[in-house]
Amino acid sequence: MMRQFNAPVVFNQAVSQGWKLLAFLWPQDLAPPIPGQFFTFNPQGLQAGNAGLLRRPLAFAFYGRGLAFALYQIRGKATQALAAFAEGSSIDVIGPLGNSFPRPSAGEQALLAGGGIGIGPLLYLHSTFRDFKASEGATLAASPKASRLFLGFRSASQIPSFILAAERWEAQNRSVEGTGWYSEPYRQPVLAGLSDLQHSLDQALIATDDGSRGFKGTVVEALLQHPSRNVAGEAGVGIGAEAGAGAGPGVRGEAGAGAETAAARKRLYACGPAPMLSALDDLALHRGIPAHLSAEQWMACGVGACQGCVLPARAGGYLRACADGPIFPQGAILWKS
Amino acid sequence: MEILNREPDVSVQIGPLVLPNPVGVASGTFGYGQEYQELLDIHRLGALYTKAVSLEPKAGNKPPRLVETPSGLINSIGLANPGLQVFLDEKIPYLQSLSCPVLVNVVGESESEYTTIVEAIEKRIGDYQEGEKSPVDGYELNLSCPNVDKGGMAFGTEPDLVERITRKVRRLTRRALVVKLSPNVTDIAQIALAAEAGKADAVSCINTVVGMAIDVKTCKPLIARGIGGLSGPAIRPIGVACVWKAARAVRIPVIGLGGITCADDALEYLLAGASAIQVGTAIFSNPRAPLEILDGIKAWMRERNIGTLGEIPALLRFPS
Ligand SMILES: Cc1cc2nc3c(=O)[nH]c(=O)nc-3n(C[C@H](O)[C@H](O)[C@H](O)COP(=O)(O)OP(=O)(O)OC[C@H]3O[C@@H](n4cnc5c(N)ncnc54)[C@H](O)[C@@H]3O)c2cc1C
Ligand SMILES: Cc1cc2nc3c(=O)[nH]c(=O)nc-3n(C[C@H](O)[C@H](O)[C@H](O)COP(=O)(O)O)c2cc1C
Ligand code: FES
Repeated sequence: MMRQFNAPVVFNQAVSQGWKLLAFLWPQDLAPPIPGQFFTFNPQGLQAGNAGLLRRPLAFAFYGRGLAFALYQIRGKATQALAAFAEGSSIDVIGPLGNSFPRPSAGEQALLAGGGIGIGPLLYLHSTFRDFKASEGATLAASPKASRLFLGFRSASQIPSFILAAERWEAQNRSVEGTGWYSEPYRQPVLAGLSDLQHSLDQALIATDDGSRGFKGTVVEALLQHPSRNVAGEAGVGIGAEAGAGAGPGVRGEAGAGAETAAARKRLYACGPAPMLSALDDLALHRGIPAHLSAEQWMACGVGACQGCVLPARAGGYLRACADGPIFPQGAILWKS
Repeated sequence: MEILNREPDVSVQIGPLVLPNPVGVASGTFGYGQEYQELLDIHRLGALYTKAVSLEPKAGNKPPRLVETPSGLINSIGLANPGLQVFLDEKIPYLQSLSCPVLVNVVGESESEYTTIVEAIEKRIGDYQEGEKSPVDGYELNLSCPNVDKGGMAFGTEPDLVERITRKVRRLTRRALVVKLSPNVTDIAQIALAAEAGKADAVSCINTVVGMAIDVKTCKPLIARGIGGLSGPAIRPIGVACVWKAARAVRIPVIGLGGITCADDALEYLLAGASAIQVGTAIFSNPRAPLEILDGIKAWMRERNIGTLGEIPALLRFPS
């Protein structure tokens, strides 16, 4: 069920260079968004003049305690208008939209890869796994074995700090404590959400294009070259090369061919620029790993009516990013066409 | 001036069909209705014009298919639709459940495709019982879509062809028959006259205006096919002028569309001579726009003591 509603914005603060985090109140009688889903907002309602005709899609980066979060990069007119939006005013939202990431099955290891504007949905997915132990209240579901989060940024300056944002927000608002939106019952849910987001981020393996933090290179390279044995003392955490060329699908190096163990089964989740998704789609095919890739395309309606947001399907024809996706299984989309 | 106590009468007659109000949703922007059912009360619409129906399914054009331009949107969907058979089997049952009038937007690559589609739909809805709500209340012939290499464009620009196709379809149905006009012609009044001569019940104008946008960083067109159809507020003055010209040329009703986002925009069209209007691109940014526009038109009529929509065109005054 989707709905159009005006949502009070309770948080809209910078988290890194050119990036902001938005939190708004979710209607209590509407099903909460799940990881992979998105919403659209109407930039016209934000700013006088031609801020933009079309609604813009953003993925959910977190949901908890009645608040929905989105992590967004300030790019053009619409995201600039959103960035200028004051806490306490309302935003015109349609959501939740699109399908969602399927849960990993018990015993599967979830590999999560996010790049650029695709980071938000993977932070959210990560926060719903049982090996995620942060503040109470986050939705906990099926337990993948030692999920692993890989996040790619252009450089260190783009890596968000949710904790610093929380501190700045508290300092900013201390003088007006008890009034408006910076007050219970909203202050604690915002801070708890920020702390959950930070908790996921802290567990991520970071890759930067310029090497200014973590692994130097792309997320895909990080995933391939990850020294898998040092995570949770368990082999096969990345899609590391140690599996050896020629090893069968899903078979990890040291176990030997034919000895596919539950611990070695993996499932890949990804969101990011098309070249990244294309590379991961190929990789998942060659390693026989099931994969779920979140696509992006220009949207007009966002609800499946206009056929504007399509991607070429491997099976022929086209699929709508908004209504058939945004999450597509490995092999569904022709990323290079 | 005394304010009318009674509600203004906002019904509109299109041939045999009475629209409960003048605000419809434009073809291609509302699917076949279902996609929007959770976002607005479809039953309150004056009319629902479906996405185009073609004889065979159409996959549509290569993406990207959309780009936003100043106050506008260029699309090159390529009339993507599931085709006649799926429409008959899967869309008709839902359309029957709606209490608003439904007009099917029909597109063909040849004259016989138009007639085949209308004939097949007539045959199917003939199965519905007397007194039952019909799933289809009329047709809108799309002779004007600029998107398909072999499609609409050619039909809609030639008065003789427009008259002939209209006449052929007219023989197949007693339901409301609307011919949709393209602004990409030399004289839209000539085309409107041709539709009237072919015994259309109304004309609707305008379809999208041919447009193109280029990314100067990559030196590539922003939609894959290069040119597409421009819609939204950017084309409203073109639409208002086309309606004004068409309404002066023909006696049948003119349905106005192009860039309508609010009640004032709709009133421009009504003042220019439109009997009804359609809302398209504006639905993308606000799905509730059609019903807000309806409320705004009624408020404007009440304020001015206007009892019926038919009184509005006479209010247009030129500086003396
Ligand atoms: C399902 C989905 C989820 C998304 N989630 C997020 C998110 O969580 N965080 C985030 O920061 N962004 C996200 N985006 C992208 C976001 O919608 C665009 O960045 C935004 O629309 C840009 O609007 P603008 O007016 O600020 O910029 P514009 O001036 O419109 O564009 C700036 C740049 O972004 C490109 N662009 C604009 N819209 C899109 C689009 N829909 N797809 C691809 N490229 C586009 C343009 O080509 C241009 O290069 C998502 C997009 C989709 C389709
Ligand atoms: C995405 C999109 C798809 C459209 N598809 C059709 C169509 O299938 N048949 C048709 O007659 N017009 C189609 N149109 C044209 C609209 O019905 C309308 O004539 C035009 O967009 C101008 O109105 P607007 O500015 O209110 O959108 C389409 C327009 C858009 C934006
Ligand atoms: S944006 Fe309209 S169908 Fe996806």
